Order: sequence, then structure tokens, then C-alpha cells
Amino acid sequence: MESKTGYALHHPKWQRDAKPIFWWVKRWVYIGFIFRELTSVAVAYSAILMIILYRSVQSGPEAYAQMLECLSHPVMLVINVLALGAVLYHSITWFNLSPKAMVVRLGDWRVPDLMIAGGNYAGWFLISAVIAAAYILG
Amino acid sequence: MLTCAAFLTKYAPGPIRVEPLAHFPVVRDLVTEVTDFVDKLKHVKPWVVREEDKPLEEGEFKQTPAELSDFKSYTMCINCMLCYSACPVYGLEPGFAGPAALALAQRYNLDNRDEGNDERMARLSNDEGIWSCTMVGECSEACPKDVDPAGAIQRYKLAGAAEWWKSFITRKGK
Repeated sequence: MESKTGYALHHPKWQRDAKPIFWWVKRWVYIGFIFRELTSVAVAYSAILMIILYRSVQSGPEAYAQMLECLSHPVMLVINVLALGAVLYHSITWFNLSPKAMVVRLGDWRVPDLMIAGGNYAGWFLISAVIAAAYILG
Repeated sequence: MLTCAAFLTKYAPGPIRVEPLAHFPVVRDLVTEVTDFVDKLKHVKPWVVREEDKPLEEGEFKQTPAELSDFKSYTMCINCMLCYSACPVYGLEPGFAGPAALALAQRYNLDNRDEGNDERMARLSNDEGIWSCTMVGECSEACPKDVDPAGAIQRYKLAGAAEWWKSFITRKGK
């Protein structure tokens, strides 16, 4: 007769510590990471501001002048300077990380990380220069 | 760091803190339960997947040094789990596949003998896979074998995004 006795898997009581909400303040690396993530808010803010500015240009000179007056308020100036700094930090860290994601090969030669990041920066400056030139000349 | 590769004299006069691997449940003292990692490893199919086995008469698979160099660094993973211990995302979301499993998935995706890319992508291009990684980068810092799991996951994300766009355009075109 077949025995029905089975074996139960040993399952000791485990201890699992919950991660505290301020886990990221323990190390500078984590603080930097959280700050980098938070700069996404500034990127979203800048994009929305750009859309609002575009809409005001579309709505005529009066709406545009009203928008400029609103933006020249000291509180708005402080917010926008902080947002600009955060967006720059976001862009720089993004470009510096780009070689991690992009591995480019030309035949057997792997394009160095510096050249990939450099290409991104070159594109950024080129587009900025074209916009600046259009603004100055136009 | 790996205790098997660390000399205490290097850290003299101390103090030294010895604790169990972070983010894994502790059974007792320094003993942790790592079944979760083993299950995740199996989930990514870390072996050469072939749609059809090549007959033996056809001989071995050919691989050039350049093809090997594409993924060689990822083969150095020794499954020490230090990257899981360093990854805050895994600590916060235990469902996350984690750095080593994703790096090993990418190791086989980049292997020219493998044909399991689509299957792995279907399993890993989701909230518990590559898209959970927020690129803290500490996994690569902690890795004692210079595997760079963070880099592997970012490459995987790029491939995942390209795949999504490809399927989106194909769907729209129909």
C-alpha cells in the first residue's frame, strides 16, 4: 500500500524590513538621483509654459503683452530661473547617460562614449544657435 | 562588496559593519532567502533559445570576436546579487525583475546564436521589467565584475522603445 505521508517544505519565518520613506537621504548618490527625477517636473512646467506662450502669441498682441507682463513679475522670474537651472541639469545628465543606451558600431569599430555624448551636445548647441540666429536676425 | 574578495586588513582599523544582503528577506543572522532572484532569473530565459535546433551535421555556430564583444561583459555576471542589494527600486518594488536578470536577458538578446529576443521582450517590456528601472546606476557601481547592468537595461529600453514604435507604425499602416 502506498504511503500518503508527505513532506512539508521548511518555511522559516522571514524578516523583511520595510523601506523608510526617506531612504534616499542616507547617501549623496541617492539624493542626486531624487533631484534628477524631480527636475522632470521643471521640464513638464517649461513645456506647458511654452504652449501657453504660443497660445498667447496666437491670440494677438494684447494677449501677448499681458503674458509678458505676467512673466515679468518677480515671483515668476524666480520660478523661471529655477526651472531653467533644473531643465539644464536634466538635459546635461540625460546627454551624459545617452552613451549607456546607445551603442553605435561602424564595422568592427565601436564609437566611443565621448563621441556619442558629444554628438548630442553638438546637436543641442546647433539647434540653439539656429534659434538664437533666427531671433537676432528676424 | 563580496566578502570572499575582501581582505579585512584593507579596512583596518575599522569599524566594519557586517549585515545580510539588503532587500532580501532574512532567514536568520546573515542568511537571506533568494528564491525570488532565482525565479526571476529563470523568467528571463538566460540561455540560448532556438526556434529550431540546428542539426549536428551542420557543425558549430560561428561567432566573430566583434559579435562576442557585444555581450561579453554581461557574461561575467556571477549572480552575487550585490546589484539587487544596491538597487533601491528592487527594495521598493520587489516585483521588479532586477538588474542581474535583465543584464543576463540582454546578454542572450545580443548573442547572434539566440532567437529568443521577441519572447523576452514580451516578458520584460512592462512595469515589472525594463520600464521599472529609473537609472539610479548603483547596480553598476556595486558590481564586482564590471558587468554594468544599468547600461544593459538602458540599451534594452532603447530596443523596447524602437520595437513599440515599429509595431505602432505597422498597426497604423494597416
